[in-house]
Amino acid sequence: MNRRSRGSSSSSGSVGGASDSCRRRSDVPRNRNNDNNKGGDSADVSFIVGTCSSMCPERERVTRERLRDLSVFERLHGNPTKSSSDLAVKKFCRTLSAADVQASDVRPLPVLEETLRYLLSLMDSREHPFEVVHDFIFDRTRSVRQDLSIQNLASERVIHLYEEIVKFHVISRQRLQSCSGASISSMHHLNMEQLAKTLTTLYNIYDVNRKPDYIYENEAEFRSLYVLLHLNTSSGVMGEPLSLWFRKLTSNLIKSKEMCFVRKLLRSYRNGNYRSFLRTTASEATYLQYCISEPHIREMRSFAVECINNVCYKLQPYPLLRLSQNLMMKELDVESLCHECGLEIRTDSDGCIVLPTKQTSFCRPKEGFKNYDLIGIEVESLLCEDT
Amino acid sequence: MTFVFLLKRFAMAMQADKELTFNGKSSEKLKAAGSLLMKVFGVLAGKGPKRVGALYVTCQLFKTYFRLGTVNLCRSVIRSIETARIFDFEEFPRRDKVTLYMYYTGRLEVFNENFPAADTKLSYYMNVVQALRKGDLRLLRHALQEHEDLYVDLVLFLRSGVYLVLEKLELQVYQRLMKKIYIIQKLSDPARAHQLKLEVIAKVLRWLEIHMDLDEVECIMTILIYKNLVKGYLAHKSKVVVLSKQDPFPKLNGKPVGS
Repeated sequence: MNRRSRGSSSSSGSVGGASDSCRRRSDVPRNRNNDNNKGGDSADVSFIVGTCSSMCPERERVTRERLRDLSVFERLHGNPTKSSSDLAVKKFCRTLSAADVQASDVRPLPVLEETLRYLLSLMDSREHPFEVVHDFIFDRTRSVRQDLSIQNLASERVIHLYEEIVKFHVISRQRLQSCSGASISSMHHLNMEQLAKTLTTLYNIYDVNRKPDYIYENEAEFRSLYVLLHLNTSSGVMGEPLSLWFRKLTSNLIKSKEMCFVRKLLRSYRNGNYRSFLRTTASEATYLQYCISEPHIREMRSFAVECINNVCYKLQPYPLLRLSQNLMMKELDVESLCHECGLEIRTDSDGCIVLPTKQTSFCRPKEGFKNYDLIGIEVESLLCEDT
Repeated sequence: MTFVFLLKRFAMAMQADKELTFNGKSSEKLKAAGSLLMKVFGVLAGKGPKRVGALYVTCQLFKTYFRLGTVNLCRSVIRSIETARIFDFEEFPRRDKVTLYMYYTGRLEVFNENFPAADTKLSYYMNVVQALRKGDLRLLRHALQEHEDLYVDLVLFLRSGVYLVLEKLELQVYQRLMKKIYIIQKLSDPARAHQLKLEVIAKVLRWLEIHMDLDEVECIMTILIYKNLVKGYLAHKSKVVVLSKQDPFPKLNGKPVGS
């Protein structure tokens, strides 16, 4: 896996590299009014210090107004050719070599913080469908990360920004599932890709700022997301295998509540212990962990249905009510799940809905976006805790 | 016998230190016990018939040093064992002690980042974990638990990659346990030995201090049958697993579980 890929705004290279450049950064005296970095002496180029005081550089805004390249969120009174400094946010632009960057196009940390706060406030916008909201925030947070990495910002203050961006991708992962549209699956894919990249950068920044015997407030939870993304070794999510990844954690992290929780999930997942997996998730997951776990919850449930169909005595059909209790889902949802698995259900002589077993028509549900609630987890209250 | 006395002394020191460390003081008692153990080791190691005792003391010493975080002290003990060639491990009847010795020295190798040697020694230890396959889940859990308790151990363990492997053994241990139950049932009531009641399984697990309700037992049995670790079917209404008359516990023969 090429984690150093410069194609992305987010990757700040290996841990060593990042810390090294940080050190150098503090050695070099900052040149606040340095407006002409173009082709200047090589030491300064990587440490450009932005001077742009609004969310979008004036120059870019004017150009995009002229080209009618304004997102719905950027149009002043809906006018596709007019924006304002309160609405326009710098777009992500791929072709950037440090030499081409002007300080006036780059936003310093306080402006970036303000920008991110504004962007995330749009998450709850009900005016537009979520995929439209997502598309906008997705692009603009990417540009925020780009500005951070161009200036080589990796201080403790930056941690919070990356955590917020990770949160955005995680919540998007879940909310995109209830969206429909031709491009949803590619949006989902890109979202996961940027999630992985942002996480990598975030972990690097934690490491760069590492103090002995100290973990950042949310670090354990954000680290635990990596494990949840890699429960399934064949899922193809980038990154190193868990056995190697665990080695790099500090003892404090390994001992943390969040890490113990995900190790427990990992064990249940690998053993196929669907009951313990679902129960543990319902009782211990945070909102972010829950969002990431959703595909696994789904997978464990269809595995459970497969097991029960496979191993139960043919003359004793399995009551759906019990299945719904074991899988912690509504009875109606279980019916729908069984159908998705290609299995028939019927009503027995006592009027109970049952799953006849040893059906040969079982098939794994297709990789869709349909999800069923996990009874016992109160997503609403987790959300409140989170914000 | 000095030996018994020693054991008690050690246990007392451990207990005393638990209380001391609880109060934020250092492990003085254990340190004292450690140096006493070292003396006893010196006496025992020389003499023929007492060597088994020496090995036992060694393991206690390792345990002490690991607890105290003074792992370096293990070195001198190992040196005297390995240079004096007084221990031919195959000669010892008490295989568990040898295992423990391998286990501690294996961990030391990990500590010193001498991975090939660590591999050899820990594999030896792992072989004994196979003994766990007799079905004693409690032992497995204890083994895992012990490492959870001491975070140094856990970190080492996770770093050595053994931890994830150990966790994978869980289903196989369940398989062995079921086999045990089946064999015992066969002795008392051969005609109905092939019926494993979920209730009975839950009871056995309770003896092993693992508390599971019937739904959870059912889930585990479902997985075992599905993964072909147990042949048979589940009669969920009667809460019974009916084992296949032929080869109800297929051997894995090195194949991964579930293949």
